[in-house]
Amino acid sequence: MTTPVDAIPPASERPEPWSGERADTLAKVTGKAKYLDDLDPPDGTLHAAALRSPYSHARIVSIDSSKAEAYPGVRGVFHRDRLDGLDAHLPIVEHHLGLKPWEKAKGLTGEQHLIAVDKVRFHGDIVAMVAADDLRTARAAAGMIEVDYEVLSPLFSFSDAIAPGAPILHEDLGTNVAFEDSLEWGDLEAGFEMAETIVEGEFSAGNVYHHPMEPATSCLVRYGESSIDVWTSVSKAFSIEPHVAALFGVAPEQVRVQIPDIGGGFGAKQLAPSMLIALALSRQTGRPVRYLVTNEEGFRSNSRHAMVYRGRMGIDGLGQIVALDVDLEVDTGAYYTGATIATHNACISAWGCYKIPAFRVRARAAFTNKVPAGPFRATGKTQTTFAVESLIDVAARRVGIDPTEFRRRNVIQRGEYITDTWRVRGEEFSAKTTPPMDSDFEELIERAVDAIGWDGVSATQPRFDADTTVARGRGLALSFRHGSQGGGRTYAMVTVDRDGKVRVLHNAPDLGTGVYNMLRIVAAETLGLPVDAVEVAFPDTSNRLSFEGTSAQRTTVQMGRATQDACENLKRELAIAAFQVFGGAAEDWTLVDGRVSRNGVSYSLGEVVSGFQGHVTLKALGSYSYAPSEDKAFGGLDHWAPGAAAAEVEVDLETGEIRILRYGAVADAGKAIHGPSTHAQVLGGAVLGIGISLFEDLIYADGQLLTSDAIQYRLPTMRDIPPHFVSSLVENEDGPGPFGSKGMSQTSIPCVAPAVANAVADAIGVRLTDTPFTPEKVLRATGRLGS
Amino acid sequence: MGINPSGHNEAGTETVQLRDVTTTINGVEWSGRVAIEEVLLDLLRTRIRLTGTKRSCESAVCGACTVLVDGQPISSCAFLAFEIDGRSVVTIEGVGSDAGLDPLQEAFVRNLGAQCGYCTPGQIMSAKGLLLRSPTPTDEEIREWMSGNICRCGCYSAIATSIREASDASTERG
Ligand code: FES
Ligand code: FES
Repeated sequence: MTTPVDAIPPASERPEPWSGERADTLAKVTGKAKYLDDLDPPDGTLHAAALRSPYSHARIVSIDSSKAEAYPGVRGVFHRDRLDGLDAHLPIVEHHLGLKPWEKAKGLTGEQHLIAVDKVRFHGDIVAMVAADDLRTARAAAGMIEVDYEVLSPLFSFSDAIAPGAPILHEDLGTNVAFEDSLEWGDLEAGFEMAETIVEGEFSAGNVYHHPMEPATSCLVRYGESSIDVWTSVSKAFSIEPHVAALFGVAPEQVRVQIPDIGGGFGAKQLAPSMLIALALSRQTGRPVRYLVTNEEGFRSNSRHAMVYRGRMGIDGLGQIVALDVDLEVDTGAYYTGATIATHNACISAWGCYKIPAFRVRARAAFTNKVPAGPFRATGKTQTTFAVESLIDVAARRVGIDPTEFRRRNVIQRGEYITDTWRVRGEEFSAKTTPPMDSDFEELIERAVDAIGWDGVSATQPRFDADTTVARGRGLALSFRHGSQGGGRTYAMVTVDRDGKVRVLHNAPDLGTGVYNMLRIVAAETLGLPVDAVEVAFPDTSNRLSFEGTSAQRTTVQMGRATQDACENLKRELAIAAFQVFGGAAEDWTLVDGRVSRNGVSYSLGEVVSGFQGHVTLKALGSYSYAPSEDKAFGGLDHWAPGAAAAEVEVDLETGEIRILRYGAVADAGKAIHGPSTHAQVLGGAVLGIGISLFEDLIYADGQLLTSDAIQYRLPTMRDIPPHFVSSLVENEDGPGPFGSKGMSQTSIPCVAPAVANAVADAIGVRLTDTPFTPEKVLRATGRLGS
Repeated sequence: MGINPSGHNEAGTETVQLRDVTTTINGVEWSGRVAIEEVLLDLLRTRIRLTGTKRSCESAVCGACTVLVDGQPISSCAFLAFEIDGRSVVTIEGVGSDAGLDPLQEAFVRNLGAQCGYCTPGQIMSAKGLLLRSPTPTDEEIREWMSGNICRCGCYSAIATSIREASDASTERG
């Protein structure tokens, strides 16, 4: 028997876990990290290619795939007339099968289906898929499928979609309105009566694409009698199996989803119809099937909802906001892929982070012939935060109070609730099942203005006159996001083998944020081990450890806590094992500095496990559930996740260009479990924010999506990074996650557009109300370009 | 893409023109036949199974597929494979060695120059190309040169710092 003695250096000689090198970086800098496209496919794997609709809206008259079927090398074809008995109408909606009761009651239709049947509803809708011996053949064959379309007129905006006489996208629904939502509290009429000043504003945010560098979303699948394997890069490992089970009539447990390294997601990496069609092709051909999406197909997989926010805000004589009434128009694209989630998230962030006695938001989401919109980093909130934080500046300037001071007067203070009760779609709930404010906006503001070397005071006079060519200004924005919301029960498992290695098993995909490294630190710190004594596995649903998914800022709190819990339970397992192997009483054995100890005698974890005859792996399970709540506004919610940012910009009045000179982003992280990753999330979110604020735009015209590749769609590069670009973390160790941590990955992105717009207003006295702030829009707003 | 040595795609439906190519890839000689329209990215990833070079935009915009050909960074998604004949190719797998990481890789690790890591091989190869040409680049040079490599995770500050530190390291070693 070999006895691996894992000598542990004293804590002082160990690498600092909170800021040391990240576990996953070495593989990434050497090219060894394996993303989906890098996996060795099983022998006999076929390649799939999709035929996608060239039209945004058309009726399918006929599909003739005979040429493709006869083409040498083609092994399988799937479309509405080649269904192999499967239901083409299977709804592909991430949340469909777990619909919350209120969603069910609405009797939603308009879901994305397995494959186009009667109609195509966006430029890129999948009409057919082909599997062939090689990719070249598959693509050639897909191009040979002849589809006869009757082209219909497309709808590209919310207002077109709800206009009388507009063509209906989903005929069975009879309307293009996908979803209606509302949230209100207090007496709005009385509020506006108290107001001395009323300001109004309309703010729009367009469609953008997440553009992960690994296109969204490829898959490799194998349909077998006893097991169905899916390798893919989704953020929610368990989102696939209910759909597979429903489509093929198999048990969900027969489906095994494995997730390799993921090249970014930002909300785009979701369950897609193509994964199920690939499985259908695998079933048809008896061979594994690999479907690699191109980046242009990625542009047709998912997008951010376009929204128009109309707000009316009342302010009393003391500079307090007394009423806010909001109307929201949400463009959800062709299918009900994210309509309720994005619309509802917009509703529950429409008042910003302010204490307002009377509030109402009414929202409508409509279908259009655009790429279906879905989750996007801080879903629903990049749009509303832009609006409300702009409106706040407008209000402050109107009542003659400095915008920073106006925010200080109106923000929700630590310990305060948003309100007492609220009505969600007409139904009343206590607002006090959500936590009271657990952060200090005062401190966030302070840090944000400090970060750019500003005193926080804005110009009272516009700095824009006929002779000005370049003007500078500064602006502030706050974000209000809930952390760690929802999800079912979260499980993690930790094991120890004879080699003394601790392994964490789980199903929280890491999209690049450092989830595995975070779990490694949590386990190591909880067990008193150095970080390199812990390994974190990749997600594999065959372990059946449930988790809602890496989204909604829930992973650090929920999976972190489950892992911590598992490690606590592992300590008990180790004590029992030590008692069995070395004697004494189980209660006497404790884990001290990573060694199992009793009366001055101690053993490493490896020695304890190796003490057993035969093979033993110690295991312990850990779990976590968020606080349950009946409330339909937020549901279960662990903490708030606010952020703040300040920007200094330069506006070139000749060219209309905006340059961000200084930018500081602040997040309340509670405790940064891995400091560099946390800062990287704050800065990375701000970079994405710069892109969607200044230039990213999905443009539709002539029935087509025009900006659907990396050439047409301008992404931020190193040149766009402000010369002074800093992040700052508040760490009061007061969050519900391990060591007082909070979710924070989505706090920085919503602040960019309003901070920049407020800085532009500070510079030139002109209010930008429509993202992205392209030079053309700036010139129009300044009147230097006619409309 | 499944071109077999006889000049057919695997299905045998098309005959394609082939070229004989002899090259060194990461210091190892490689010869074989490539279809004239085959891009270097496919040759590397699919046939030679060097998967560190990443496929993303496939239109010479994002830099994820960057490799060095005779020391010059090129987008392998838009570079015909037969053109490497008689030249030398370095991919991310050829950077650093078993003995240790390249100073650039070390700096990326130290500064967390990678989050999802998908753009990282391309970033490092572009930076390699920069340091070969200009061992101590100014910040402005770094920004200009690296603006062809997109990082959607937004690691730009850390990447710039890493390149700066690696250039200092190379100066120190003289
Ligand atoms: S994949 Fe070659 S430049 Fe983007
Ligand atoms: S690290 Fe994710 S794209 Fe650069």
